[in-house]
Amino acid sequence: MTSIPTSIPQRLPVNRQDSVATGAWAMRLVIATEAALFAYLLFSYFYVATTTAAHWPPSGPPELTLALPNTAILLLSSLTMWFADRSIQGDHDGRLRLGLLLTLLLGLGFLGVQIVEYSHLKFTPQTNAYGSLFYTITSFHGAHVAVGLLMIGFVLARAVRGDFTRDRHLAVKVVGWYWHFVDVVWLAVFSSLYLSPRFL
Amino acid sequence: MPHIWSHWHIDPLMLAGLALISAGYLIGIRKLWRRAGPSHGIHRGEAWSFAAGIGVLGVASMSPIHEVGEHLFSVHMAQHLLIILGAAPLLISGSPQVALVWSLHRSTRKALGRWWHRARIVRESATLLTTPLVAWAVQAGILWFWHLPAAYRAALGSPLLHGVEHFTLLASALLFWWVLLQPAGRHRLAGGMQVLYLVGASVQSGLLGALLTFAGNPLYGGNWFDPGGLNLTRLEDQQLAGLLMWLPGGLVYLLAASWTFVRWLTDQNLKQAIPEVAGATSNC
Repeated sequence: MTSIPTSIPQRLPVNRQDSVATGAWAMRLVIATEAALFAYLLFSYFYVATTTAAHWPPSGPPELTLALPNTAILLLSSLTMWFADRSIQGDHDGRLRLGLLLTLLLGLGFLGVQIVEYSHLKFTPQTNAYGSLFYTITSFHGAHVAVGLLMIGFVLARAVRGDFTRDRHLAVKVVGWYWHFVDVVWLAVFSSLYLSPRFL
Repeated sequence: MPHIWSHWHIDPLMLAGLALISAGYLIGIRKLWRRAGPSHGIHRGEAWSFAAGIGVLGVASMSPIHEVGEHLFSVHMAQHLLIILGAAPLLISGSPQVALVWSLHRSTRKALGRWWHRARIVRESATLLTTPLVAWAVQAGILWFWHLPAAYRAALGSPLLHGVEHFTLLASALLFWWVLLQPAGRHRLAGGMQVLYLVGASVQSGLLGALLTFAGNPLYGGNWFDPGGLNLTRLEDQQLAGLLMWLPGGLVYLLAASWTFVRWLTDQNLKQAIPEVAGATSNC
């Protein structure tokens, strides 16, 4: 008669943690639908820009003084997110928490600067079609940053609890995808709203 | 019929470039076929595709299309479409990298291989550029950039910038089709992703075409006259250009996507029929 093992030498696998896990596919689909949404928002912006006979943008291109450093902040936050993901691949728990924390702070900084920038703008969403488009697109992106920060905060809490290991850290990876996506969308928003009016 | 419609603009630099690349390709396949047997290594069809690509590039850059395109936006658009949707995929289908490497002398080839092995930064940049997402975004970004009014006007106003415009359009299109048609190693896109890659490209170029079609006034200014006596107003010319980009342009991407889709399904069938093949290509 063989003896029944009383202790299990390793933790039992619970969910898939690879690239075909449910969470990974869910995030891919979220990114696909959100990318389509932003594509249509930016298309609306250009559509109004090319069909209007009035001067575009009515109040001149938006200032770069805050937006350009803010772009750098967001790009940097992608780098720290990448650092976090890489750290847990090497089983460096502390560096993972540091990377997530830095990403969280940089993301908060981005939102803060955006609010300051809003308060300096000379137009409101009600001023004209341009104002509506500008606020809709940038705040829609801001909302995506905020959602991303919630995700990062949640992942950070789990990291503090010590949930992640070299082999089991799908949440970090998937939230990283989302965060890089939000960053790339900002580059598209920034190029369209801030840079393109300078090439008319 | 005005003189301009029959005017061939022979650009010596362009001609020399085309001749040099064609000669290199011919030498390459001659050596290759002598060694491996005719139609081996590079298929005969691939060689014809390369020849057709050179032909389309020559027509786009030197035929009356070029000259008329300086004045009619719609013809200029046709020229760009010939470059990015005609010449680029045809050239890439011809596996030019294989032929051109074979055209070199054996020692040069070896030196090139050693340099490639040592030049880590070049190699890593190439890897980054040929990442599907990056290649896709570079192509779309360059296309949209050159359609910004100021960039477009600047290109029309300076032969140098005009050359840069055409060169970057061609280079980014070669990159785009390279990722699809000449995949290397782990960068190979899975069938479904290939379809998305193409449909996505069709959507982004369609959106730009739609913008040009619906624009309320001429965007680009420039040296306007109607060389064909077609009675097109400037706005109509722009609408025609937008429609060319939107419909025939989108159709090329869509046909390529359909073809890819059918091939993908056929592969899936094969995999089910012969389970051992399933392991050979990864899914993600």
